[in-house]
Amino acid sequence: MNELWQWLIAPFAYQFMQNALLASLLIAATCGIIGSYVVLRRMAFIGDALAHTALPGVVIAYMNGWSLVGGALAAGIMTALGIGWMARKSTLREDTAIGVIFTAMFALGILLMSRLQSFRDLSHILFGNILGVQSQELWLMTGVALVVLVVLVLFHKELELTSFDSTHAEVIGIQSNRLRTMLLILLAFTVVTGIQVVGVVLTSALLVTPAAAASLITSDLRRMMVVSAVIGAGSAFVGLLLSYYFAVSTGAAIVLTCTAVFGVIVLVNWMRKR
Amino acid sequence: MIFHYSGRHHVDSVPGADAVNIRDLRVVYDASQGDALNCTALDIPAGIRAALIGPNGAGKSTLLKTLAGLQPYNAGTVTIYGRPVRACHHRVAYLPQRGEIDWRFPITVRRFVMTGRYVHLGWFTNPRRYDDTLVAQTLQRLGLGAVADRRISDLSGGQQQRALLARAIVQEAELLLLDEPFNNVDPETRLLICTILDELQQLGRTAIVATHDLSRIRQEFDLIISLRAGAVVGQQAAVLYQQATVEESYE
Repeated sequence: MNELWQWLIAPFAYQFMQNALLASLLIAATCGIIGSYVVLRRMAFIGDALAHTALPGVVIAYMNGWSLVGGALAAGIMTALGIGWMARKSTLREDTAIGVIFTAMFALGILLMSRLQSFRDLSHILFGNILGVQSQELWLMTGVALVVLVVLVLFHKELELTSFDSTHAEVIGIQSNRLRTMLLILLAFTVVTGIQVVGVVLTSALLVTPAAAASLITSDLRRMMVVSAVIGAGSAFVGLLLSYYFAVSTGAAIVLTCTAVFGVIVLVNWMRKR
Repeated sequence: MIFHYSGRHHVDSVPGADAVNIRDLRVVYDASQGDALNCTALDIPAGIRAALIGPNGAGKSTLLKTLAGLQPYNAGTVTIYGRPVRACHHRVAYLPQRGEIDWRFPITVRRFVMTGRYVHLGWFTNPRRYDDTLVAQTLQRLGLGAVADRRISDLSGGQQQRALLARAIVQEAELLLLDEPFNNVDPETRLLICTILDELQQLGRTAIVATHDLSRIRQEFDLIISLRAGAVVGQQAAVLYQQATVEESYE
């Protein structure tokens, strides 16, 4: 027992591991909570798009010596507003329009990166760099996560209503389009923090997988959010340990732990139904 | 302190006004296809049950959506209890056709019905004891007490329709707009819906119901409004209505 305990806590004797643990628990939990809406409102593709379009923002910020997180946030918010605008104006189907825009933005990011000599400096944007989190960034991420949580709590009943019955919401005077745009902006915030943990390519997994797993075991949105946050945070902890002891990529280890939890829940559900 | 949705203030209805007055209303979806709705004059007095009948595409749903404030219109005036559409949201309850709601969403029947109270709560306010009691009583009244804490996805078609009606009741709306409430519901539910509409009428509420089901229309309604190709083609007291004329409107 004592040995297991040692095995669990030994990695966190290091300052960088403590930072990584705090950051990844916080971010994975936030992603799990907002991810419940992503799953129920079928916004998984948008979440992925928001993560990918952050790349040119980060590269441009890097080239000009601006804050990388700031660059990612700016790009994310512009994408969120752009998607909201396109959904109202365009004759293209929304997912088609998003597909066109986000691949173009991602390609632009890669193009700009290839002009820089120091590809390695930016590779952590693609694949995450939670072990390199500085205390200052940790504060910023805590702030972002808190803002997201507070807004989600304040607007919970209206966000829930517009998710399954936007008609009733409109009749009683709630503008569901505006709420959707607000949710997209919160999602952009969350995604930017998620990029720190698992990178641009894998962020949508933190949004979708824990929430999808939670949706299989509970029938109430609030409980689903709690379960999803716990699965996300638990996976972050386990993934961090795995990456420490087996020297593998932290982001990938966290995402695959989420997937394993999802797989176990699917299996248990399937066996119970038989 | 209530933070009303859409920032509007409480507007009292004009005393003695009709539930609905429509003048020269035109709704156009697509200019090349003509008017989706064209209504020179329609008055529905307060406190009656009116049926909207007519073939598919006659404009029944469009009319209900216009009254609910969901459908922007191109010309004309529409007033609800003497006030412009959307001036006071809590006065109007709209029951959409069941397909417009995502019934797979994880929410209990109780909480679903509670969303009818939201217009009185506004932003940042959670339901209070009065709301809980009202919802619980209404669920019992509509025979949904046993399934109150089940997911809405577990409900049958008839139960879904009753849940929608329960939500309109807890909203305490004065004008109820029901789009095809009798579609695919069991006879029991149908009877219950009609009984509830009777009770609401006793309380002075008004109901406008789009329906295809004409079998008991003379008993179930006071006024029958027939629409065809977006226009009101007939309006008469239900008791005077002849089955023949009804069938004619379907030719």
